Amino acid sequence: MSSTELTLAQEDRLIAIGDRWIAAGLSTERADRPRAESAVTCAYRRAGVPGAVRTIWASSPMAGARIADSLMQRASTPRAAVDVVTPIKRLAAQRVSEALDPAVSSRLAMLVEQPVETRVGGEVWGPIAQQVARLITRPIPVPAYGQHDARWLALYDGLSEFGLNISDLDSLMEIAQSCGWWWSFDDVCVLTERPVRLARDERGRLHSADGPAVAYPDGWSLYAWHGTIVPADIILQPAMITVARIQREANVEIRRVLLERYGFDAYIDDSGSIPVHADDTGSLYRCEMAGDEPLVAVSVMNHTPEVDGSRKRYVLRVPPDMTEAHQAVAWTFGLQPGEYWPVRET
Amino acid sequence: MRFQARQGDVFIERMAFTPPLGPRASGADSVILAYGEITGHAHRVVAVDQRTGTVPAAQLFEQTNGRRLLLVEQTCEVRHDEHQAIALAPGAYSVTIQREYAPEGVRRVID
Repeated sequence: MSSTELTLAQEDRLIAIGDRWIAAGLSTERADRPRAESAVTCAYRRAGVPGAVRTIWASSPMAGARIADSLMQRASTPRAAVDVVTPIKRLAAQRVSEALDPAVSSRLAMLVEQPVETRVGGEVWGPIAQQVARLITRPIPVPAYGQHDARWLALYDGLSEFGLNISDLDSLMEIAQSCGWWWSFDDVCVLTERPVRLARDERGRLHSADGPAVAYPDGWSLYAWHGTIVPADIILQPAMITVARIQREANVEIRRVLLERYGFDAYIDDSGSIPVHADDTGSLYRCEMAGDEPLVAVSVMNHTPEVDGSRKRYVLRVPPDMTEAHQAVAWTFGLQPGEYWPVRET
Repeated sequence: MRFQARQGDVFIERMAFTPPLGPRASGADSVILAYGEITGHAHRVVAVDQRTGTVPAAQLFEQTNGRRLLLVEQTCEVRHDEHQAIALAPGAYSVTIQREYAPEGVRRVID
């Protein structure tokens, strides 16, 4: 690849490539099944994996994972998962053997790779993959991610702007533009649908205040509040959130969302909490509990603000004998008040 | 005063000397101080100069007091998607994850 500054026209084309892959990664169109099936056959052939491909369609990544699991567990004859993607990726990577001009490489990363990785990878694929991993108890073969493979396919598409022949990746690009996750076995391939709903906030994080943030045709869905995956009732029935529910919640991120939905000031009023002390580290509240020890909690804010200038607020319970906010925050790190003086907080 | 820094629920304090090293708590190519199960975001130690060669830029070790020791060989940053980065000069650091009180017992903050 020659050493050149990118022209504005080239930069525009790279941005368009990134946008195109973001759109593919976030697509909620029904899977183009004939296109996906034909591309899978090509991918098997390109990867040098023998055998005819029988396809099974699943309506969500979760359903696909369950089918992949049962294909492994219940096969009457041993069934092997085959890796179709890696051999093809290796073929493409060999073509990038020539060192990239650093200027081109950094522009590609900035204009194509990072935006797609953030929008598709970090904000959408990551939470979905995490939920599937949580729900699958046995190890299953690693899938290929179809539309979510936009994360890395986009970079190769960008490289094609500089003369790289990416035809090895044609079949994977076809799959990425026609369906969701897929699992490849020696005799069968499990393909999945794309979501029917994908709701995000202005920063691209999964978010919906009135329904699932991600929903698949079979009903499998995720509920999210500005990127935090939460139980459905927090989104669907905010009026049912109670002081007790907030106090009972063990996870601080979910507790933070509960407090945001309930309203922090309303929580302080309704719980009967009394402000005890406040300083630069936070505010300490005490709530007398009938027949139980008092609930003493320190409210702290993230030092790094959100894009809109607001700061996330967390409430942490501390021992009932705490009397000052600084003392309470020091306690949360196992320190005495005199030992806690961070010079940098983010 | 020793250098102390805090990134969300992770507290880092420079140590005066390097204590005996316990079992290693980090993989070969990445050092993660804490991972949010709900958010999926991690507090990750990354070399500022990516050309680190064969010497790992930082390693994490368990300590007997429940804390962990971060040994920084080359200047690193602690990065997290929701917080600004914190730069760490070479040296030994004690790493503590925030905890919370519960009547049934003290527990590490879960996020």
